[in-house]
Amino acid sequence: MLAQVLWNSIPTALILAVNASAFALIHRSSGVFHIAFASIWPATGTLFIQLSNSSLLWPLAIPAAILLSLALTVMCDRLVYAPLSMRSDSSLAAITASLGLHVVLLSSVLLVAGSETRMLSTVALSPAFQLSQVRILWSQLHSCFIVTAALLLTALILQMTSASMKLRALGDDPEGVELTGLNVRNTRSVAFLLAGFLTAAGAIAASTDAGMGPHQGMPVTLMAAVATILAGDRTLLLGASLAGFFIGTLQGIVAGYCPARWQEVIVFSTLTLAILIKGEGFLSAVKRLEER
Amino acid sequence: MTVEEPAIVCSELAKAFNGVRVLESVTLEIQAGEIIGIIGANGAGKTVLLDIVSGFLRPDRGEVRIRGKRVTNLPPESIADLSVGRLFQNLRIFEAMTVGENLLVGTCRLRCGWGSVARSFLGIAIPSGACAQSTELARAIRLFDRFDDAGRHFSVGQRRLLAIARMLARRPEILLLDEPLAGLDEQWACWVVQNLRSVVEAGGSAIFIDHDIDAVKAYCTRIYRLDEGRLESC
Amino acid sequence: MNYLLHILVLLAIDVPLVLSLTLMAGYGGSLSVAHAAYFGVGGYFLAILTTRFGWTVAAALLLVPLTGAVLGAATGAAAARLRGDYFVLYTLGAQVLFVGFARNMIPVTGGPFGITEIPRPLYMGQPLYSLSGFALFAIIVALVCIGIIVLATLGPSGLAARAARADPMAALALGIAARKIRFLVVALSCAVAASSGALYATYFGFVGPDSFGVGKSILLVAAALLGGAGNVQRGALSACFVVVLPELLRFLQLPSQLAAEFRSMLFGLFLLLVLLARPGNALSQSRRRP
Repeated sequence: MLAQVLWNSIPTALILAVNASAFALIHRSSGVFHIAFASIWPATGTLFIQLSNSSLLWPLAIPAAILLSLALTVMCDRLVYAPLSMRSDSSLAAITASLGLHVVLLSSVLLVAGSETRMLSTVALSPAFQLSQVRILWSQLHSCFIVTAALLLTALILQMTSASMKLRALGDDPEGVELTGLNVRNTRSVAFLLAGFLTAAGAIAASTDAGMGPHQGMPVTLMAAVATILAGDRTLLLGASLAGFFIGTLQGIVAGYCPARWQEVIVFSTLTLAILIKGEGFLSAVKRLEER
Repeated sequence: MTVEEPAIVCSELAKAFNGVRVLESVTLEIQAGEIIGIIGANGAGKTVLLDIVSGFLRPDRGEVRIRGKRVTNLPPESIADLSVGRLFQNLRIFEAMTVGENLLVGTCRLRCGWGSVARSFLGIAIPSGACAQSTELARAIRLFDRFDDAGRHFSVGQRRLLAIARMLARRPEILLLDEPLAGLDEQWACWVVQNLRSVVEAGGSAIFIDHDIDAVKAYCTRIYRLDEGRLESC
Repeated sequence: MNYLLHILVLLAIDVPLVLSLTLMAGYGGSLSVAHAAYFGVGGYFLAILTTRFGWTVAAALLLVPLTGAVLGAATGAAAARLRGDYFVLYTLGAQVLFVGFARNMIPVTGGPFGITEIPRPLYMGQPLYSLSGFALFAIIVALVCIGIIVLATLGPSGLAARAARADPMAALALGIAARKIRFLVVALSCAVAASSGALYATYFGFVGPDSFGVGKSILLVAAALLGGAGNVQRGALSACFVVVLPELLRFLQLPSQLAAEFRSMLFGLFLLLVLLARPGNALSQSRRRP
């Protein structure tokens, strides 16, 4: 039983790791808690499922989903977050604007696609195999592969280029970065593009594993946000991935042993407590009193 | 015959951040009527010392007493209620509030106990002398013409004067001053020193932190240097 | 005439509710995305006291603000610990938790079906079914709530609260009990929100988890920001706008589900426009120059 529960929690944990990474990339580089993720994620997943289930358009499913996620994520920055950051450095204004974006995008998704949960037509037929006492579905393996590949690719891009350094500098001092001659706008866009890519990976993986509904985004977003907070501000991707993996594992274990209707309550109680206990992150750098 | 307690006593204060010792066995005694100057390199720990005395930081070891009362574990607002005034290095005026409102916060002399807070929620009127005193202070620092302008619109020097006036409005007896004269011209520096001396001559005391050694020598009773966490008399 | 009285009752419910969030944001320095949860706690508490324990509405209405205040105290403690955007996240989590509890604690809350047959307040021993009578009752309750909010914003408490919001460290150094004030403001705000929830419950005779979700919280945030955090007069006006707009949308005769989504989208757009277009944005915190 425990082995099966642990295995079942791995795809969930990996999906949450990639979601948390997307969320953290944006937060670390721009200071924004990107709550609009809660509507972009299901929108991407829904488009992926719709196209995958189509006999003609299924080859376009993955590219279209990635494009939609990239477009929506960068649009959030170009139309809202970036103009807001020029008028005010209030992170409170940014998170509030993100809430507004979420409402607009979610309403659009509901108007266009309705409110029902969609599944891939192939999921029901997903074959399984037995590994000792653990039953493994191919859809779960696909899911794990997609998010792991996306995370590794993003990490590689950040390591092999100067993007990691630029994004961390941008997060610490945008004005200082501008003075060095770097194009702040384009640097921000890199973060949002990478985040959009990771968002798409997470949405596609989740859709492959368990389907997608428009209202699934908010709980996932909150967990990604908490993972970002727990990770602190020392790392760009690694901390959030690990924190997201941990939270996802916790969620999976709770799902295995508790009644379904209490899962969300138990997980969110834990997470809300985590924000309260360590609001600035377990791995944050110590700040001078005057900077707090 | 009653022996008056010293204004401030710091005993064996120690503070470290991430393994870096910022203060090490700092002992200091300030009597009423004294101005103590503290100099030192950037990052020597001067502001950390003021943060500990004013309650914003807890020392790892040691204690602070103000007029004989142990204050090491008291919150900053309780220490402020003991007639302690603090001027921050980065000023910290209320930028969204007007000059008048900034000064009114000082002249209202709000206290931090639950009773006072509850009464302030039930009361409607600002204390009667407070508005007049705010106006008087605004005139003194030559910001009366901009009484209704928000703090964010002022230069560094004007902000410093506003912060000092706001601190003095509470009529503190102990002043903790972090670079009070930075960015001020000679005329305003004299005004600040004049007010500082008025407080001290009335039985108050002050800790004066500055990088300008000449100023520290000119205005202080005793001078100390903070070096590698240790306080040494100059 | 009945329709206008109905609008009046909705105003009596929503104006104090929006003003309580305005108070929390402007004077407590804490923008909460869980205000629908405090609203819901008030509604559920009155519903449980009246339907399960036989209390009268008037007696329950006296206790409901205390419940809201206790919950607000817990929130206030969190507000004292957490910076603005972290506090928003915390309240978002609390909001989701509230709906989770409301949906799942079936013996207490009725689960997804909620609690029905909530009685009206009594007048001369008879339930106040007349719309004009209830409207008068609602206005009295609303005026008491608004009066409490206005009292908190005037005088020394308002000044201290604004200072504590502007710069907590500077406020502490001036003897302002910033944490206590923030705590009290948040508790007061939640008490008023809970009272509005109780009024909602006794008017509609029903409470359910879907009435107090994240969407409602975001709507309240939009309304509070439209007026400007801390601005009581404009907050009241924007609350009126929040009530009136859905009624105007009725004239478009959209199907109800479409209308609900359309309304949400409009409020989301308003929130964005307010934040992007307003000079002197109420949420702005100027960068501290050295």
